[in-house]
Amino acid sequence: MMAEPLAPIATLQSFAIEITVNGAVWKGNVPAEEVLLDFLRYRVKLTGTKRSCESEVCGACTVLVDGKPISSCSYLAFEADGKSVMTIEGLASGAELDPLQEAFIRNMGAQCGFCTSGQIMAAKALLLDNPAPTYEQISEWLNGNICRCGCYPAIAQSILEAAAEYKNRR
Amino acid sequence: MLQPFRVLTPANIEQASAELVRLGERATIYAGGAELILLLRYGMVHAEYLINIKSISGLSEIGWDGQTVQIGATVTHRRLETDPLIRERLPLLADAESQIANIRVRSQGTLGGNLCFNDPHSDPGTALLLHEAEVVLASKDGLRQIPLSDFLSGMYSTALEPGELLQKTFVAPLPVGWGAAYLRVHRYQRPTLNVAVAAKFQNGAVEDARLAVGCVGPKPQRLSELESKIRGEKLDGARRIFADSKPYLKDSLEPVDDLLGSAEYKIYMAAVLLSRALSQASRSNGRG
Amino acid sequence: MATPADTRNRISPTAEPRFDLRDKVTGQTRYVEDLPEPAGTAWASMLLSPYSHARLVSIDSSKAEKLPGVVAILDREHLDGLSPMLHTPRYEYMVKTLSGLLPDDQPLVVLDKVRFHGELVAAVAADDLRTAQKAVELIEVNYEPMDPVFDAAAARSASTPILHESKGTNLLLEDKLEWGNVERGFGEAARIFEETYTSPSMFHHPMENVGGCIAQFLNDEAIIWGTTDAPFRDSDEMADFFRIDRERMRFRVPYVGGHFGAKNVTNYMLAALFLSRKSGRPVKTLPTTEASFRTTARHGMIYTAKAGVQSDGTLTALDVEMIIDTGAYTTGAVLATHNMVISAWGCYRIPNVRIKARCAYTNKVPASHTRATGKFQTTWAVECLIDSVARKMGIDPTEFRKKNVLRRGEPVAEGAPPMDADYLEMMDKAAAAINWDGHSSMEPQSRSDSSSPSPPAKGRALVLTLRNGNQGGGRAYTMATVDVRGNVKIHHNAPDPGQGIYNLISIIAAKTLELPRSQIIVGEPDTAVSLPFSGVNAQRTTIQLGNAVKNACENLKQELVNVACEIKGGNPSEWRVADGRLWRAEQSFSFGDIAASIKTLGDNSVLKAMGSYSPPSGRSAFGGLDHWATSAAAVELEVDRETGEIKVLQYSVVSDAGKVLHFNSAKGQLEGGAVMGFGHALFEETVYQDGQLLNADPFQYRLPTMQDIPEHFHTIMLENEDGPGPFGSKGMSQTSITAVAPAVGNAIYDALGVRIRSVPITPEKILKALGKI
Repeated sequence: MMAEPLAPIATLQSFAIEITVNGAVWKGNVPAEEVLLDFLRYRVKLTGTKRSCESEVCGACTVLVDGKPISSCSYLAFEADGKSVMTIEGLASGAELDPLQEAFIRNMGAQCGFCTSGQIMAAKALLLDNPAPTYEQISEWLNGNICRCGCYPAIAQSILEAAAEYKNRR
Repeated sequence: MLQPFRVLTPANIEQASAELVRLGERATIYAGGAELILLLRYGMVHAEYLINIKSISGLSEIGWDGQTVQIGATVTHRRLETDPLIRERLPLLADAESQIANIRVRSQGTLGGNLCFNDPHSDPGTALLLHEAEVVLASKDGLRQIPLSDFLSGMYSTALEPGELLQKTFVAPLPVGWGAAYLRVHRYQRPTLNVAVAAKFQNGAVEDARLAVGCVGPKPQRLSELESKIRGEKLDGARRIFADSKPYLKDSLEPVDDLLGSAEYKIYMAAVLLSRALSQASRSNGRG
Repeated sequence: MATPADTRNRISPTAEPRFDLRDKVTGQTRYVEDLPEPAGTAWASMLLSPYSHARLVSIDSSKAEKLPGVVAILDREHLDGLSPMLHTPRYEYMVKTLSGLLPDDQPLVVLDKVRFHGELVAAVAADDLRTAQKAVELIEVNYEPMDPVFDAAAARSASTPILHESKGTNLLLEDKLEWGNVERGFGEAARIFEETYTSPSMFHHPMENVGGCIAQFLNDEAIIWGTTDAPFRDSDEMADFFRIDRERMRFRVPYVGGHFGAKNVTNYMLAALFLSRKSGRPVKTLPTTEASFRTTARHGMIYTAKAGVQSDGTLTALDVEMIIDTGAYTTGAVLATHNMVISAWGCYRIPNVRIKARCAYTNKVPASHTRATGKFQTTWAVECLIDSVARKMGIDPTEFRKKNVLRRGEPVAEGAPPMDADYLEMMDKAAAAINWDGHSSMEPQSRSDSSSPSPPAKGRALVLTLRNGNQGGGRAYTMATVDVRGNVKIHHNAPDPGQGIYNLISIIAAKTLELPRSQIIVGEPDTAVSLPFSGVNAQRTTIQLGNAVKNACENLKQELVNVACEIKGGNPSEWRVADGRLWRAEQSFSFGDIAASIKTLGDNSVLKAMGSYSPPSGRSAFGGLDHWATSAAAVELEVDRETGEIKVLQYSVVSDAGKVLHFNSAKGQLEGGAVMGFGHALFEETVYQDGQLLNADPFQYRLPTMQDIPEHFHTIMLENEDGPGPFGSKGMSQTSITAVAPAVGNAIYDALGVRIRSVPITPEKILKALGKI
C-alpha cells in the first residue's frame, strides 16, 4: 500500500514488458522514464534494493540483470524486458540461505544493513564471473560498493568463505 | 525522478539520423545510459526523445580485419575489458577500460557513449589517442571517418554534426615491437590525470614513442614535441626531459586548479607518470 | 580479519550472530523508505538555497500553490502563525560552565537571510513526487547574495561579514579548562614548542540519507516515522517546536541505515510535520544525498598548542588555543567545543594545562554531533603534537609516550575518574600486532630527493587515544515484561543504526534472566511508551541503556517473586530465581507459570518492571563521566616518494572494552570506526570556495572503499571486566576512529621526515612538504 510516487498521468510513453524477477514473470506496463529501482520497489514491492546516492557511485541499488551487476537507480526498467533480474530477495532458496548470506551472518558483514543488499549482489556477480577471487580481486570488484559502517574486512572475509563453500558444493 | 520522455527505436542508422535531424535539440542518442540517465536526473540535459540505438545491427560488434580492430559504438566497457580479441590486440585499451569507474558502470556504459560525452576526466580517450584511433560518423547521408583527435574537439564537445551519430571506432594495434603502459592518478570517481605511453626501444634507448596525457586539459592530448625530444634517450635521460618539460606541459595541457588537485600538482604528476609509463613500456617485452 | 591473537581475546558470553542479520542479508529489514504509508500520503519536496550568504528579498509561491495536485506550502509567507525559530536543543545546556543562554538562532525556513548553502527556503507537499518537484521549481525567489565567510579564524576581524546581525559578532561562545599554572610550567621547561594542526568540516554520510520520514499530524497529535539516535529527545524537541504536549508527539523509529550523529531533528522532518498539519494528509519526504549533505557536518578546528618539556622528556605544561567552526547556527556548538576542551591534552600527565576554545559562526552547513564529536579533531592534533615534540627532543615517540602517559589509578583531571586502563599493555599489543616493537628510527628512512626512482618509503607509528567513556545523558529507562508463555519483552527507546543495539539488549536480558535468547523479544523504539533515554550516541548505550535493561530484568525477577508470594504463598526470602525459573523448596515454576497465575487478565496476563540508570552526576567539566574509553593503534604504511601516494600495509587497534558482550559487534565498531577514520585521515573534507559548498555530492566527497583498507587489519579488545557497564563493560565504539589520522600523519613523518599538519593527508600535501611542488 505504497503511495505512488510516480505520476502516470504525465508520462509520455509506456512500454508493455515482461521481466523475470527472481524467477517469477512480471507482465505489465512501465513508463519509459521509470528506473529499475523504482520498478522493483514500487511495482514489484521488493524493497530490499535500496536508494542512496542515485548516481551509480555507492552501489546500494545493485541488482543483477542477466547476471551482470547494474545500478538499478540509473537503468531504465523497460530495458529489462525479456531479461532476468535478480534482487537480494531472490538469492535464498526458500528458507535455505545462499552461502554468501550465511557467511555475511557468520562474519557480521553488515551493521546498519543499508548497503548490504548491494554488497551481496555485487559479490554474487563476482562469484559468477570468477569463482575463486583473491582478496585483491574482491576489493577491486567491490570498490564501487560503499559501506560507511566500515564492514569491509568482514565483507571480504565473507566472500572468501562463500567462494570456498560454493566450491565444496560443486 | 526523471522527467517523462519518449523512446524511439530506429531499425538502422539512417532512421536514427533522420530522427536526430527532425527533432534537433529535443532528442538525444541513448545507448547504455550510464552517463545520460545521470545528466537527465540532474537536469543538465533535457530530452523529450531518447533515440535508442542498441538494436541497430553492427553497432555492438567487435571485429578484426587483419589490420585494425573495429569497435561498435554500443560495445560496453566491460566487454572491452574482457574480450579476448581486445586483450590480445589492444591490451592497453583493455587495461584502461578495466579501470573505468566501477563494475556496474562498466557493465552498462558504452565506449560510444563515453567518447560522445567527452568528459575531460575520462579513461578510454587517452588510450585510444595513443593508438591514433579513428571514428566513423554516420548519418542518413552517408559515412565519414575522422581521427579521434579531431573528433574530441573540446570539453564535453565533439565534432558530431547535426544528424550524425558515432557508428564505430577503428583502432590499429601498436606497431610490432612497441611496448605500452597506461597509468593514472585516481582519487575520485573520475581520474585526475591519466597517461598512455607507447614506445619502441633499441639498445635501451627510445627509437620512437607516442605520448598522450588526459584529464588535465579539456581533452586528451598527444605530446608530439616531447615525443621528438625523447628519441634517442635512455630512460634516465627521458625522465630528466619529462621533469624539465613543465612549461611545455602547462602550455599543451592548460591545467586548472580544481577539487581534484592544483595545476602544479597535475603537471608535476604528468611528468612523473610519463616517466613511469615509459619505464613500464620498456619492460612490456615489445607487446604493445 | 580474525587472527589467532584476536580470537584468544574472544571471551564474550555469546558468539551467536546478531539476530538482525538474517533480515539484513535477505532484504527484509525495513527502513523509512520501506514502510508502507497510510492511505492518502502526500509527497514533499524541498527548496534549498543555492547561496551561502544572501538576503532573501522576496519569495512568491503562488504559482506553486496553484499547480494541480499541490496540497500545502511552507515558506516564510506561509507559516500560519507558527513561531519559526528552532530552540537550541536542551541537551546542549549540559555544560554548566556556560554563562548566558544560547541564542535560538535557526529558523525552520529562511526568514530574512540565508546563512548556508542548502538552507531550507520552502517545502511543498503534493499528491505525487513529480508534482511536488515541479511545484518547487515554480517558486520564485529573489536573493541578494552577500559575501560569505568560511574562515572561523576571521571571526574577530572587523571586516568579516556578520551572520547574525543582532549578535554583532560571529563569535558564538568560549569555553575553557585550566589547572596548575602554565606560566610556571613553561618556566620549568627546558624547551618549549609551538605547533598548529587543523581539521576541516566533514560529513557523516550515512548510506541512508538524513531526514527521511513519514509524518502525520492530525487533531493536535502527531506521529512521525523517521530516523534518529534518540527518539525521546527528538520527540520532545518536535513537540516543543509545535507547542503541543510531549505525549502528543509520537516518534516511531524503524531500523536506521547508519547514523554517526547525523540524524537528529532535521528541518525536513519539521517541514513534513507542518505540511501534514496544514493539509490533513500524511506527508512523506525522502531527501536526496545532496540534500542530506546539507543537514549537518563535523566541526572544523584550528588547534594551536605550546608544549613545555624537561630535558628528560617529561611534559611540564600545555597551553592550547582552539578555534572551532560551527557553521551557520548554534546546533552542536556547545557540545563540540566542550568535548574539544576536555580532550585537548590527550592521555598524558601534564601538571599545568590551560585550554581555551572559541567557537565561531561561518556560512557553512551547521555542524553538530559526529562520531567522536570534537575528539577526532583534538586527537589528531595532540597525538601529532606529542610525536613531533618527542622527535624534536631526540626521544623515541613510543618511549616519550610511555614516560608521560597516565597510568591506571592516576588522577586525570578534577571531577574526572582516575585513569582506569593500561596504556603500556595496549601499546605493546598494538605494535606487536603489526610485527613491530614500537621503536622508530630517529632518522626518517630517507629525505632523499634524488631524481632517480626509489622504492617507497616505509613508516610506522603508534598512537594513543582517550575519550570519556560515557557522556552525560540524564536517566535511562527501560521496561521488561513477561507474558503467560514466558516470553520476555524489553521495551525501550533506543534505535539501532547499526551498532547492534537490539542484539545487545537481548544478550543482557538473556544473561540477567538466565533465559535462552529465543525467549527474549526486543521492542522497537516508540515514544508512546514513555521511556526516556538520551540516545545511542556518545558511547553511552552499553553503560546506560545496558544497565537500565539489566536493572529492569532484576526488577522483573523481583516482581515475579512478589507475585509468586501473593499467589503461591511464602515470603520473598523463601523464593529464589535461577536458571530462568522460580524456586521454593522442592517446587519450581517457569516465568510463564507465574504470569499466568494472575487470573484477572487471563491469557493476556503480563507482569512488568521498570529499570533505570543514571551516570554519576558531577559539577565539573566532565559531567557524568564515570570511566574512560581508551585505545592504542599502530600503523605501517609506505609512501611513494615521487607521487606522495600512501599505501597502508598493516593497521592494528587495541581497545580496552572492559567486557565484550558481543564479539562481532564490538569488533565491528572498532573496524568500522577505523575505516571511517581512514576516510577522515586521507580523503574527507567538505570544500567551500567561491561562495559555494562545492563537493557535497557522491562524486566529489571521497569516502573510503574496500580498496583503501589493508588486508592486514587487526582489532584486539582487552577485557578486565572493570567497567561500569553490565558485566564490567565499557563504552568503546569511538575509540578507533580517532586514532587513524595521527597514526598516519606520524608514520609519514617516520617515512619521509615531513609533517603534515592538516587532514585530509593528501598526496599533494606530501609533495608540497617534500618540496616537489
